[in-house]
Amino acid sequence: MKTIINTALGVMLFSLSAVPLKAQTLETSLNAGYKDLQSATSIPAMAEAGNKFNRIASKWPKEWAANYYAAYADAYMAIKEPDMKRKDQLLDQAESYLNIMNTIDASNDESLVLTAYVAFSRFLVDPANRWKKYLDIMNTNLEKAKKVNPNNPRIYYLQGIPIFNKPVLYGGGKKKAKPYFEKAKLLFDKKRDSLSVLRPYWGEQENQDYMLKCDN
Amino acid sequence: MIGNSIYKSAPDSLETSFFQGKYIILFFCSFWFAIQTTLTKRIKRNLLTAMIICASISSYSQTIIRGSITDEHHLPVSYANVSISGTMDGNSADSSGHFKLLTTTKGKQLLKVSALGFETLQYPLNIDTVTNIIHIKLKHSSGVLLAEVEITAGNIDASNDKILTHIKPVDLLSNASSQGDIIGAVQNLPGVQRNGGDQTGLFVRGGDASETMVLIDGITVQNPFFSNVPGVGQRSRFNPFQLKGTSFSTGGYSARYGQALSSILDLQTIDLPEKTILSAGVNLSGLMLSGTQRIKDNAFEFYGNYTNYGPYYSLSNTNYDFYRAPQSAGVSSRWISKTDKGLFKISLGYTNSSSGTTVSNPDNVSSLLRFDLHNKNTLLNASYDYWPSHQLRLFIAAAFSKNSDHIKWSDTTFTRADDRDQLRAELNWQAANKFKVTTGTELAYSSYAQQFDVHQGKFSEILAAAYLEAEYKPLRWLAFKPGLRTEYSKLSGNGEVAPRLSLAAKITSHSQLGVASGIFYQSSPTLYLLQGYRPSQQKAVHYLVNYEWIERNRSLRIEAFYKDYSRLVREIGTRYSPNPYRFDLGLVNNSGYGYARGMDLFWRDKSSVKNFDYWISYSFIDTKRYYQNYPSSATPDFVSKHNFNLVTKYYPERLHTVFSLGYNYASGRPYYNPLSTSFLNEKSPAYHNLSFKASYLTTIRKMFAAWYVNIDNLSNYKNILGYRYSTDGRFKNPILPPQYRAIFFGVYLSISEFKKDEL
Repeated sequence: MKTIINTALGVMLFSLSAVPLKAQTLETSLNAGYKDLQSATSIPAMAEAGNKFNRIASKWPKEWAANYYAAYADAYMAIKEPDMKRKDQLLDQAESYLNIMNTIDASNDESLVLTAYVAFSRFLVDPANRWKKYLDIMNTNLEKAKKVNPNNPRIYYLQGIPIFNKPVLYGGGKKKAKPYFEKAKLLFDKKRDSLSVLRPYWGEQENQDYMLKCDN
Repeated sequence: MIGNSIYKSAPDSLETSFFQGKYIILFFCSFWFAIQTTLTKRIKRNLLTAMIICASISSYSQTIIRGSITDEHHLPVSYANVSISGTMDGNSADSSGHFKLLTTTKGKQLLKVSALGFETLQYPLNIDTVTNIIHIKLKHSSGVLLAEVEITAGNIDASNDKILTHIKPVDLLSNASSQGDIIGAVQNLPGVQRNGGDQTGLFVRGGDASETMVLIDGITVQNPFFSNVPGVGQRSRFNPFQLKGTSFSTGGYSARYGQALSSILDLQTIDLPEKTILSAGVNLSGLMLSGTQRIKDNAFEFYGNYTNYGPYYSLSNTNYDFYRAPQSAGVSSRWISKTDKGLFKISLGYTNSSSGTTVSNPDNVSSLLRFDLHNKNTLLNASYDYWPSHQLRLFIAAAFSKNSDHIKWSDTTFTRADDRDQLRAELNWQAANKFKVTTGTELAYSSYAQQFDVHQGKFSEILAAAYLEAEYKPLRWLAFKPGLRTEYSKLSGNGEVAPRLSLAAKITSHSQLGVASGIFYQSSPTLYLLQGYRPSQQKAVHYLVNYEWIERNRSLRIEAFYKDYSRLVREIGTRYSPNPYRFDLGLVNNSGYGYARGMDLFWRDKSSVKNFDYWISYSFIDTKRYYQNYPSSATPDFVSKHNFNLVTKYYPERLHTVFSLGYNYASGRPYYNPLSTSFLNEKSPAYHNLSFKASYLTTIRKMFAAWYVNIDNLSNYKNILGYRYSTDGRFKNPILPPQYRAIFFGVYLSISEFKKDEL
């Protein structure tokens, strides 16, 4: 009994001293980076936000969240970046962080969703030539994520986009896509009160934008 | 978090002998929470004070590092990321490559500089002594996605899985000059002879039809075409809707393949269909119905069709008298099952076809004969793909096919029957990042029987092969693929060793050079084997060089080749006769030889004009051979020196319509005139064909519909493909395509199930 108590005490004291400090700095850094990325409107501002995430990932190379956000930022920037070549370079970088993240924890639903998101960003660079390979990767990862956690709103948000962009003729279009964004919204709403950057919450605003586009 | 997990584990201890322990733990936990909250607040406050102190101290000892970043050519690198390795001290460079960095670190540090498209640099510096502006030079790095070299010499892949390809599967079949047939489609690619409609098969780089092997999912298809009617070219048996990609090689192919002197067409069937779908098609020559039922990770497919060329032939004039229009009925089904680490496919197909055609008498061209054909064909294919790990893939395929022809040639009964059983087992091993090994074995048993009036012939053959191939990429831009194949044929009684080698080198980010060579063997034509002759394997050696440039929407491919034929089967002491069903073959040995040399060109442009896509393929060939019953070395009658194809497509989005125009040109083919001074030296006029296709896509309620009309030989050009002479040379008949201008139209409908379980 004594040993149990001692161990528990030891662990607790350790956690008390170590965890809050560490979590704070990684979390605050990520929070700051995330805010910069969201508010960036110019290329230099976005590049700076991306660089910040890279620095966070090199400071905490073994943290899932650090690699997650570095990959997310690159994939997000690749969509906004106008230059084709730079888009792919950003995604090369995103994939290298994704690989590290997946060695830390690949079965987490957020890992699977991000893998899908990076593939989606690859697809967007050249849809005519890349749809088969990258939409396949995207869809299989989203399906896997759904098995792990069907309440992740980003699954439905991401599933909705290709349907939204597919011509009505081939079974896509606004009408077909809307239920996906609605489902995502429902799940985004549920989670709103417990937002922490360590548990990714991106996508809500974008999902909202798509819902508006579906109605117009 | 940790407190939580301990709390959760507490009820478990109820069952343990430490019954009292739970109170202690419960108490302790609540105590700890109280302590934690108060302590944390305090610590935080203390920390804050500590941090303020630290910050004020450090602000006095911060160092500013300034620098500029350029590439190898002294051009500024913008927005690079600069940081002190292992810390958060960092900043971004501006658009002109200048940076300013504050750090609290001391002494020797590494300055980490990274930028998109450049290799990351670790620059050592001593913070205490830095005063000047640092100049940093970054090296360009090759992209991951684009820079990988890939071996392509001799090969054109139409696949959606690959990103950079000259063509996609949809391009092959959607154009006007493919006639909805995969073989018709492949004729628009470089290296292939235009078939004017009088021959069956694919004629590649001077090779005859028997020199092209058609495979489906890695298994040889013994009868890829509908049974031959003399002088009337036949379509392939494949249902294009079941194919996901084609890999077409015009030479220098991998050690996976053997028994083909010229070419390989490897068709891949669709893996797991995406969704449950029902589709139907009606056109001028028949109807089809197909369905796919997706059951979780399995799918069942069925396909049935009935074809009758009667309406099609009656709408346009035919140059042959089809007294009984060709008709066929086919059914097939497939089962596909996918697991985490494997994919299983099995398909079974059966076709029954018949036709009655008036053809010219091979013994006396001035008279005509009735050719009555009944054919039955069964094909069973199964394959299993299994990947126990990311490095290992095991592939096993087995197939069985049976084919029989019953022919009434005027009053003479002519029967042909063949069957084939085969097996392929293959192992792929990604031994290292840059090194891949493929090894496998093939086993095939086939038997043929033929009876023409009183002439009887039969044989059975066992072919065994084993192969080993490696792919090594020592550098990102360089790849080697050496391979070795050994083959054994029971009939010829000997084994052969066929080495293969191809390599590729990336020269710029979008272009590469390739080289391929190899030795290829093929058994003697069935004509000889059926009559009991047992010649050795025929041999060809290929040498080819290619240059490829693929950008996103444009591509260029140039390939030059030389092919050396030897040990071709030759009849000695017989007179030449163009009759493919001849009996008097004399003495037969392997003394034939020949060569083929030339170059192919392919250009594609999808982006210069909006919504407009075109490709050009041009092939030049110079070939001669001395084989079979040729009295001397000559260019065979299936070869056109120049082949040119232009395939265009225009798809204005608003009209939901795809328009396609195709033009094919082939210079004249040699024909046999018995009175001519030298053998096969006269040539037919050049072949021209202009074709047009329009497809209108729409929805009818929940159904997807595609209406299409295809006009072949729009200008009604009167092509003459050659002449047939009477034995004494006094009469001649022109060889004509089955039709001149021909119109074909139809509709394709499909309805797919909405995936309800997705939401």
